[in-house]
Amino acid sequence: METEELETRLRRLLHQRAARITETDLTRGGEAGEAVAPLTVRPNGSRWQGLIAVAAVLLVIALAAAGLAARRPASDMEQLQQPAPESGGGPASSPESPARAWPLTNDEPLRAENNEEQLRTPEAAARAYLSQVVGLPAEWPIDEIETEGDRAVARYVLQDVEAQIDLGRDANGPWYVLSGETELIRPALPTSILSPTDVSIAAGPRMYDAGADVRVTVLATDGRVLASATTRVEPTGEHRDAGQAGAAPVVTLSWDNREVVAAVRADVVDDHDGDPATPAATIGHWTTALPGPGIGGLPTTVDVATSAPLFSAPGSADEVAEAYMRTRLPDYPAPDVELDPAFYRGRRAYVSWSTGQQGEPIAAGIIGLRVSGQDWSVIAVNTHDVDVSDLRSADGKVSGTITTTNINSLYADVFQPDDTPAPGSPRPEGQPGAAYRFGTAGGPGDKSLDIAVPVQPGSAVVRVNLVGGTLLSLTEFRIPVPER
Amino acid sequence: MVGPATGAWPEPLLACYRTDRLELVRVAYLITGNRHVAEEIVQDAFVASARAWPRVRDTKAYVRAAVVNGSRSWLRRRRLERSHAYDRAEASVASPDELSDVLGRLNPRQRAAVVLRYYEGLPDAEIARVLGCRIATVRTVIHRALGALRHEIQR
Repeated sequence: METEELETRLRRLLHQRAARITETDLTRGGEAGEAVAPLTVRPNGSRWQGLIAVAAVLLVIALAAAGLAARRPASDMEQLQQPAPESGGGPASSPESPARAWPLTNDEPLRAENNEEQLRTPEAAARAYLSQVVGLPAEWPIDEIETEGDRAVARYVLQDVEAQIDLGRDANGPWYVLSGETELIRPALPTSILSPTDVSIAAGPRMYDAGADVRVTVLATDGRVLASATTRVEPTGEHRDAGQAGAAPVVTLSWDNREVVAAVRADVVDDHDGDPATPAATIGHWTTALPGPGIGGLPTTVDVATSAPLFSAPGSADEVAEAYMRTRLPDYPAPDVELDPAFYRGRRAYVSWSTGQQGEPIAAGIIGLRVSGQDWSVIAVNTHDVDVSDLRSADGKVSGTITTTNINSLYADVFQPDDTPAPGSPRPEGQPGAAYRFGTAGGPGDKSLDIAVPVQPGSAVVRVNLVGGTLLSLTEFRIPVPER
Repeated sequence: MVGPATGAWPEPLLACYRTDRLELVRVAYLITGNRHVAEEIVQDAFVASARAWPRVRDTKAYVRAAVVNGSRSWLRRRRLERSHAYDRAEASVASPDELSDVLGRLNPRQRAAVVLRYYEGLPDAEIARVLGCRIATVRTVIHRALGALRHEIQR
């Protein structure tokens, strides 16, 4: 049969079949609206549901991390790998902007013709995101935009499933995407921001009975794809028959460097019923940003976003971090000090450091920096297996217990605002090991060190090292000292 | 947030409802094969369009897209164990014809594309907008659908 003949026959059949339905067959609806079902009522505050859900997940992680730190210092890589709040135990209500999922710092390529226009309003930013990231047509309908100050929610429908995009901006700046949700899936945050990492994908309340393929993608801080993988997600017991219950599938992603994950995306993919000739399309989209590595084990008053600096210098975050380590570790670059490229998050940056050789690590931690004007400043540094979270300032003293799981010895200094050691600071003079260039305030093998150092009002700097012939690690932070 | 009351529908949407509802129900019926579902889908599409007002620029195009999306979604949800769920029982009870059999061979997107081109008579660009894909994809989908239909109709 020729195509033209087939098309003619098809038109005739379709019209014949459609003619079976006449006006009189329809439910009475001549008066528009009478036969129309009531509109869906959205509860007030639904605009915040997405943000609250993400915040709740992050809070759970923060609480879990805090509990872990209280019980024991984390292992070398645990704290670095765990996505965590912005700063080690810092205030939850940081004035810094939340992490963005899109566009990322240096960005996956925004269309060059009008970047500023694309991010000028929540609707424009949402449309740009749906078009460039999700792959929908540029004019895809957005049903509703709710804007409240510097936050907005764009609601849209994709394949009859409601979805939304949460957006934010910094003080009249461009709008960016914080997260995206779909009723089809409920992914979890990655178990690590370093390779390898696992992402579990639970079915959402609207997951299809037949299930669907979900493609998970993790992105670097500049928007590059670090890794992606696809898994099959089926409705689980929560949303289907109890007999169908099963664990959420887990996707394992890995990449061959130490880059960290800045954002995660999960796309529900339509395979067009196995039709190989038609490209797969996204029929549901979820995304979230990861706030960056946490700096664990520090007092709750320390916040990279707000605490006063320890060290400032011109240059990039990487250059400032290196200059800082040179001033603090007199035998730098011994003992095999290594600094990773900075992980930028808004006005902050994080640089992972380590000492020791590969296979014989000594210690590791994170340097937190903040930019002010053109200069970067070091705000706080931690060592993963040195816990100083017990230290506090009260009654004119900095006091508390420092603990470690490291085999090397603890050494602590407390400095006045003029950078001189505070009287009574547990320097090594008179202590066991004083004959060494760097003695030990705590004895070899001691896993804790108590300090109670009188300090002047204002602020004090606490510096803690692991020592063993030289300084092996660095923990440093500034602590406010109130008037007595 | 509560959507607009039906009485507050904008005039263009009311006009579309009065003049195009039957045609849209027929479109949904051709895609789903179920007239009752088709009516519900069209009702839902008008409700969604009212809620989306005033972002609706072309009333009929917007409602039509909502109807096609709703029809495809309904088919997808009925696709138990990844089988196509064209309502053959309903179609055959009403009046069997060769179309009810051959459309059942198509996947939801192919079915929608065929209905939009050969019943609605839409150009490929408009079909692409409704289906949310590129024009080239529309041609691919229809080409493959015709291939399947040719085989079925000739049997």
